[in-house]
Amino acid sequence: MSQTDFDVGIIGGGPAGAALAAYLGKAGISNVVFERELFPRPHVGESLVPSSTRVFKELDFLDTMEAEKFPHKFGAVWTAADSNRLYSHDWKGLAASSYADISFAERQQPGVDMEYTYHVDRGKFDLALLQHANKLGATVYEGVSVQNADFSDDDYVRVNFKLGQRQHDVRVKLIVDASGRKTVLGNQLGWRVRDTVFDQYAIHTWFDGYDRRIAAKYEKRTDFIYIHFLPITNSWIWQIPITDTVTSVGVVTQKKHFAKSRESRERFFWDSIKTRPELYEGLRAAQQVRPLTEEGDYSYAMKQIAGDRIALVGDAARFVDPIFSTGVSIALNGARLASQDIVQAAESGNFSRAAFSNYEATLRRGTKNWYEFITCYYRLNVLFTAFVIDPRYRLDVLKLLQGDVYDDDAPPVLEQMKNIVQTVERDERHIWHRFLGDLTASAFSPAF
Amino acid sequence: MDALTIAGELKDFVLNQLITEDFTAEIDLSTPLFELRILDSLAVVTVLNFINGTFDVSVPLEELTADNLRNLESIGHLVARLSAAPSAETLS
Repeated sequence: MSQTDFDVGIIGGGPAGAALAAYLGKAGISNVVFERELFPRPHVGESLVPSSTRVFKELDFLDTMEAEKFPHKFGAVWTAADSNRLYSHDWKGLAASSYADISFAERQQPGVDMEYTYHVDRGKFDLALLQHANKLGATVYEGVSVQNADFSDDDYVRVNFKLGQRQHDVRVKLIVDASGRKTVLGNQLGWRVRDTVFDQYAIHTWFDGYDRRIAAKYEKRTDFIYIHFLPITNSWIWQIPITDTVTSVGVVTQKKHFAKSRESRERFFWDSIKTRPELYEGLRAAQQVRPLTEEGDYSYAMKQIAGDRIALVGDAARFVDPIFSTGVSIALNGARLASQDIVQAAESGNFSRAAFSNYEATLRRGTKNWYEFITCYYRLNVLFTAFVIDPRYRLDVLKLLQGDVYDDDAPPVLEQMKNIVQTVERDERHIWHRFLGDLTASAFSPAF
Repeated sequence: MDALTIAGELKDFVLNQLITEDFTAEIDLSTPLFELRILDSLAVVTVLNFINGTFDVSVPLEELTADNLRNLESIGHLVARLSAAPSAETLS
């Protein structure tokens, strides 16, 4: 009898864990998922980017995405309150005046071949993906909270958990932490490092009956994701369609704004939205159907994302500010990349850190690019919008927004953005100088 | 092309494309564009797109200084200077 119960143990059945379990199941590698909750359960992170499609295709999951009737996401829109009423041609009396939008169809994306991605009810989406993994051969334990992993034996990892009052364990050759922002093993091993540059905070809920046309320039774009800038440093609202009538709305701001305000979170949520009166009125007229939920733990890195007999995927490996809807996509593509190394490791029997070097390097490259993109965005918001409307840069920015970030070490468009940010920082006479955000130039060197 | 001819074409663009009917003040080549909110931080990118399409001049975003963008005349000088200068491609 084998010394181990499964080849791979996966902590967490969210998109990272479930996608990895599906990949491994498909490759015939025995694996077990330990999910703390009983699915379905609500979760933040409801909008995807098109690079997710590659994973859905490879896992034969696109039919399920369509069957679940998740809203199709054809693009993104940014609106701002910084209004200049004179610049309003083509506006037909709508309130927001700084406006940019982008459609995924504008750029062909290799391996994707679809003009849209999805917005998802994470309760339904996560359940469907985990069931899919199960169908492909993964064993799934729900309601099982892993306490720790014991690496003291050279031949296996012992995964410890409780069922009721009884202590249990399972032995695996490789343990993967996909526990999301819980970062179960990152904490246990002391790998987690706080990212002090981005100290963001989010508060969000769902509304039924909100009229999504309020902020839309073109009616057919009501199902895009909307990012509404607030006239508060580094603050914005997300507007994500969940069903025909239900819309997810969240306020993202710097933690210090919330701490300083000393208001109840309810009051803070509404006061933030009030800075965009047209949205405030629209949301007040709709019905709030979920309690307000807070998300802290924003932005951290890990000293390592792989080690001997261990790998981290999804939010458990890295959490970057969610401004560009990257969370689920990084989780899915992280699972895709990790599975390639794991399949090889399973063949060779070598589960040492070196076996995951390809995954580690590729994921780091992708998240570094995301990080720099996000840094430019917060440092000089107007530059991002200018790049979107400037034909010289539009498609290169779209490539990043589609989630194609893993191939290039230093995408030229990012280098250009960084150069312009530096020029604007140095030149007080530059018309964008007064728009410089709180982040300093040192933000360009992520901790890991 | 000389700066004043360029400025004249820019004026037509501003009158026809940028300002709304309720803006009634006179606009000439020395009208301060930002003070009167004829241009703002993003509308200026629309002007750059127009310049690129009409004069085949790519204005680097680094050049968006208050001095270069003060009025139509100064933008005309900027475009004339950039069109006269050898482009980066020629240099390399």
